[in-house]
Amino acid sequence: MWQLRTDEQASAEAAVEQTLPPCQVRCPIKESIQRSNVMISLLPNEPEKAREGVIQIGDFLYDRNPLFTVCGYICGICERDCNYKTKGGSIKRRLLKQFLSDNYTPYLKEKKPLDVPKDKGPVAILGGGPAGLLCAWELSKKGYDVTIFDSNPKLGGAVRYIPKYRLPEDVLDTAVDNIVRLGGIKVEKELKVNGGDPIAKLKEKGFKAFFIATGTPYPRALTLGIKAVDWQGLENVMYGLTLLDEIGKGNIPSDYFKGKRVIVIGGGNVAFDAARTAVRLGGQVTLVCLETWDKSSKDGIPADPEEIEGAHQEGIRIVYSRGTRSVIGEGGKFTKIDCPKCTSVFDEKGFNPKFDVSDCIQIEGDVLLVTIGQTWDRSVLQNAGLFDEKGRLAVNALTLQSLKNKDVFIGGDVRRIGFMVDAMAEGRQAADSIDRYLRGVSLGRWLVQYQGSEAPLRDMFKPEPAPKWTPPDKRMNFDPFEIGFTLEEATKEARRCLECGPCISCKACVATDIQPELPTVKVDEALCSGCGICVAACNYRTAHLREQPILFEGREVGVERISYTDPLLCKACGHCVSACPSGARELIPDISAAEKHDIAEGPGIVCFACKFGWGYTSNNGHFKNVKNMIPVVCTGKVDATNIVEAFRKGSDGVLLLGCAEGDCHFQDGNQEAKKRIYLLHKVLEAFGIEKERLEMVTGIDPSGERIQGLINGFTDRLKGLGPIKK
Amino acid sequence: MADKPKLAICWFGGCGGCDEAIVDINEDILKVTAAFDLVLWPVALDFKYHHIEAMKDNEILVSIINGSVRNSEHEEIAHLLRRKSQMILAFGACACFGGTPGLANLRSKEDIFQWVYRDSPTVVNPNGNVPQPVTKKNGNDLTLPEFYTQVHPLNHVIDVDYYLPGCPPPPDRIRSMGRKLISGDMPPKGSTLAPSTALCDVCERNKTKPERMEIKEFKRIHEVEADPEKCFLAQGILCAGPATRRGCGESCIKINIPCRGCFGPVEGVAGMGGSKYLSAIASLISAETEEGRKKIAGELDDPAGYFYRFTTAASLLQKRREPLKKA
Repeated sequence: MWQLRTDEQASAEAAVEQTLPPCQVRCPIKESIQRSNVMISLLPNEPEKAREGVIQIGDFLYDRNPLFTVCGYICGICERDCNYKTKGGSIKRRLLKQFLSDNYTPYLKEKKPLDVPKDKGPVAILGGGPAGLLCAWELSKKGYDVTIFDSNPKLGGAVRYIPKYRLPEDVLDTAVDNIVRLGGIKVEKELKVNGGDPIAKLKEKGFKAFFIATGTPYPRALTLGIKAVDWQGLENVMYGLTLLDEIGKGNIPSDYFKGKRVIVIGGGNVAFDAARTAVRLGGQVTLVCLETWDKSSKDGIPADPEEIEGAHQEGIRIVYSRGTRSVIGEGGKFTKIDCPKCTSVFDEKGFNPKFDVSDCIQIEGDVLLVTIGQTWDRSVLQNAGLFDEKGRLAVNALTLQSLKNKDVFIGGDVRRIGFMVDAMAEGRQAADSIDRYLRGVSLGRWLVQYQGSEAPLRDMFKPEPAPKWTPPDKRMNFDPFEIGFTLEEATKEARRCLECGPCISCKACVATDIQPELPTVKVDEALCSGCGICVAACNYRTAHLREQPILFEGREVGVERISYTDPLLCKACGHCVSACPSGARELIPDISAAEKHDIAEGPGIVCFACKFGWGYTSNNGHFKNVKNMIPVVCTGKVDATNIVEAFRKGSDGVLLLGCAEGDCHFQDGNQEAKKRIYLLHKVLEAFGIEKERLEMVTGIDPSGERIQGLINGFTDRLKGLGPIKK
Repeated sequence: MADKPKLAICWFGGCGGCDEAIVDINEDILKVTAAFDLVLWPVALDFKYHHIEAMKDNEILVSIINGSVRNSEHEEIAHLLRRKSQMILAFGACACFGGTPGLANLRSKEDIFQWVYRDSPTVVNPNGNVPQPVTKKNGNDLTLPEFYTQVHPLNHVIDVDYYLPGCPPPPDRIRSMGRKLISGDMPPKGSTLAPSTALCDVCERNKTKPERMEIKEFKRIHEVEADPEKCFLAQGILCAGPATRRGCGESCIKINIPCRGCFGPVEGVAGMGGSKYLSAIASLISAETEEGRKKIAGELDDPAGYFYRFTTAASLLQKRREPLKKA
C-alpha cells in the first residue's frame, strides 16, 4: 500500500505568468524601474520643484527598497537586459537611481519612522547585511518586533567591503542607520548565547522565528583546480577581502603599498576592488585571473566592463588565462607566483579549470592579494543543526524555510552567493514566509514566471551618455570618481527609456496625473473589416488580426479576419484609433474626447498639446489667443479628422505641440502626426486653406512656459494671412 | 394601375450611368413595373414635371434620385419630389456624397466657367458666350437653371430616407433594394442599403497582407504591373478598400484595379471618410528619417483627389454651403 503525501512539501505550486519590462524581470527585487524612470523623465525643470519630486519618487521606491540609495551607486544588474542595450546602450538606470540617491539621502534623516504598533514577533535576524536589513524592514512594516544580531562595528555586511570610491561611506551609513531608525529595529552586537545551539537559546529568550543571513565573511582559499596552494606563512601575502575589510574600518594608511608591486589573484568585481584599492594605496598592481578577456566567451572574465575599463585607466596590468601553481618566497617574504596557462575555466560540470603546466610564467611582486571568492561561516549553522546528512544546508529554495527547523529561515549569500540585490530579494522573501508562518497560514506561494516584454518598434534611437569619470591621475584617492547626473541629464536619460513593460505594472502617467486612469482600446467587431492598418500603426505588437468563424444561425459559414488588441500589452496611445479608417477603434476613456467634441464655432486657434511633453508640471491650462486648448496623450492620437473638424468649425489655424524627435512616450507619435500633416497640407490647400494654418512644433517644455509665446507667434503669422477665404 | 404604389426615378447632376444600372437588372425590370406604377423616369419615359406637380402630397411611395444637386432645377425638383413622396432614396455616389462631380468644389464657379467655355483647348467660343440664367431675346426672357457655385449631395437639399451608394450601384444591390421596396421590409430611416463594414472584410486579397504593412513608395496603378492576387496597399498602390463600405461586389478588385471608394465611407464615419482614410494611409508611410517620410508623402500627387474622390461635396472640409433657395 502506498500513501500520497499531503503536506506542504509535496503540494504543487500554483504557477502564474507575468509580463514585465526586461530590466524588472532581471532585477531580483522587481523594482518598479519603468515607473520611476517615467517619473524622473517628468520631473519639473526648476531645481527646487524637482527636489520635491525626487523625494516623492524616493518615498515610493523606499517603501519596497530601503537600500535604493545604495543600489544607485553599486547595482546596475537591470541594465544588462535593457532592450536599448544593442540599440545605443542600456538606459543608465544605476546613475538615474544615484541621482535620486544624492537628492534623497540628505532628506532621509528627516523621514518619519513607521507608524506601526510592534505587537508581533519577536523575530531574530542573524546578520545585518542586505538580506537581514530587508527582512527586518519588511517585518517591521508588518508590525513585528525585530532584533538584528551582527558582531561587526557597523551593519551592512558585505556591502562594507565595497571601496569608498565606488560607494561613499555616508550614503551607506545613512541608508543603514535610517532603516534601523525608521523601522524601529533593535540591533545587538552579540548573540550572548555562550555556545551550543544558538537558535534554541534565542528561542528560550522568547524569539518566535529566525532569519539566518550571515553571508560569506571568509575568503576562499587559493587552489589550483581542486588542489590547495599553500603559502606557508609567507609575509606580505593576504586576502584581498581582509584588505577591503580593514580599509573599510579605517585601519590602513593611505600610502600602505607605496613603492610596492602588488599582485592580485582573481577576476571578479571584488578582485578589481582589491586591485583598484591597492593602486590608490600607492601600489603598482598586476591582476592575474583564470578567465579570458573576451566577456562573450564561456570563460570570459566575470568582472563588470566598467571595472575593467577603470582598472586599465588606473594603470593596472591584467594577466588573463593564468592560474597560480605556487606562491614563492625568499627569507620568509613573498617574491613571486608561478602561473600555468589556464586552457579552460568552465565545462559541462561548471567551474572546472584545466591548465597547461608546460606553459608557465612567473610574476614577481612584493605583495600578493588573494581575492578569488568568499565562503561562509559554518559554525552557527552547524550548531543549530541545519545541515542534512550529506552536509548540505537543508532549506526550501522558494520559501527559504529550513527543512530541519520550521522556525528558521535562511537566505542571502550564506544560502547562495549572489549580488547584493539577490540577498535583498531573499530577505524580503524570508520576511513574507516568516509572517505567513507566524500567522499560521500556508507558505505556499505563487511560482511566478516573469516574461520580459519586447522592445517596442521605433526608428530613432539615441546613444547612451558618455560616462563621466574624473581623470585617473585625479582619482588616486577614495573619493567617488564617477560624476553623477545633473537634473537635466537625468530627465534626458530617463526620457530615453522605451517603457517596454505593460502599463498596468507602471501607471506612472496616472501617478503623475498625465491622465486620470489607464484607458483601454475597444474594438467594435461589427465595424472592423480586418484591414490590418491598426497592426501597422501599433508600436507594441499589440494589435493583431485573428481569424474567427462567421456564424449564421449557429452554423459556421466562413471565416473572417478581425483585429483585436491584447489589453495587457496595449499602451492605449491611440495610434491605432486614429489610424483606423473604419472608426472601429476607440480609446476608453479618451481624455480629450470632450474637448475635441466641444471645439467652438468661429475664428481662432485650436491647439493640441501632448501632455507628456508640454506643461505637465504646471496646472495652467489657460492661455490667451487660443480658442480651444486640447490636451492629448500623444500627438499621434490627433486624427486628421480632428484637425479637419477644427477648420470646418471656422478656426483660423491649428497648432500641434508634440514631443521632441525621439522623445515620444509612445515611440513615434510625433512622427505619426507629422506624416498626417504632410498629407493634410496638400489637402487643405486643395480646399483653399493655406498650409501655413496647420503647424506642428516639437520640443519638451515641462512648465509650459513656451506655449503662450508659440501661440502668439502663430497668431501673428495667421494675421498676415487674413481670414480664411470662403 | 391605380392601386399599385407609385415610383419615381429622376436624374440630377449625373452621367446617366445610374439609370443605365437600373436597366442592367435586365428582365427583373419587369418585376418593378409589375409592382409599381412608374410616374417619372426622364431617361426612359415621357412624363413631365407638371404631372408630378398635379399629384397629392405623399402620393408617390418612393422617389429614386441619382446625380448631385448642381443647379436650381435639381434643387427645385428635389423639393417637389420630396413633397410628393413618402420615401426618398439617394441612388449612386453623386446623390449620396456628391460623387466625382463634387471634386469641382475644389474650384470656383468662375474658374470652371472660364475653363469650360473659354480656356479648354477644345473650345471655340470667339464671343465668349457663357450660359446665363436669363437671356433677353426678342422681348422674351429665355431661362436656364442657375449653375450653383458648388455641388451638393442630395441630403444637403432635402431629407433623404435611404442611400444606395456606388458608381453606379451594382445590379445585385439594385435587385435587393427592389425586393425590399416591394416587400415593404425597409430598414430604419437613414440607412445605407449596403453592409456596414469596409471592403477589406470581403476582399480576397486581404489574407495576402503582410502582418505589418508599410508604404515605402507610392505607386500608381497605371505605372506598375500589379500582382493580381496581392493586396494593393501591400504593393504600395493606393486602394480605398480599408476606408470604403463594402457591398459593391468587388468588381474593380476582380479586374486588378484598386478600390476608388465609390461606396463611400463605412458606417459611422460619413463626412469624415477622407480624413480617416488619410490618417490610415499616413500611418503606413515608413522611412527611417523625417526627410524620407516627407519625401514619400510628397510623392502622392493630389491627395485630396485620392482621399475625397467621391466625397468632396459631403466632406467636413467642404466650404460653407451657399444658401439654397428653398432650404
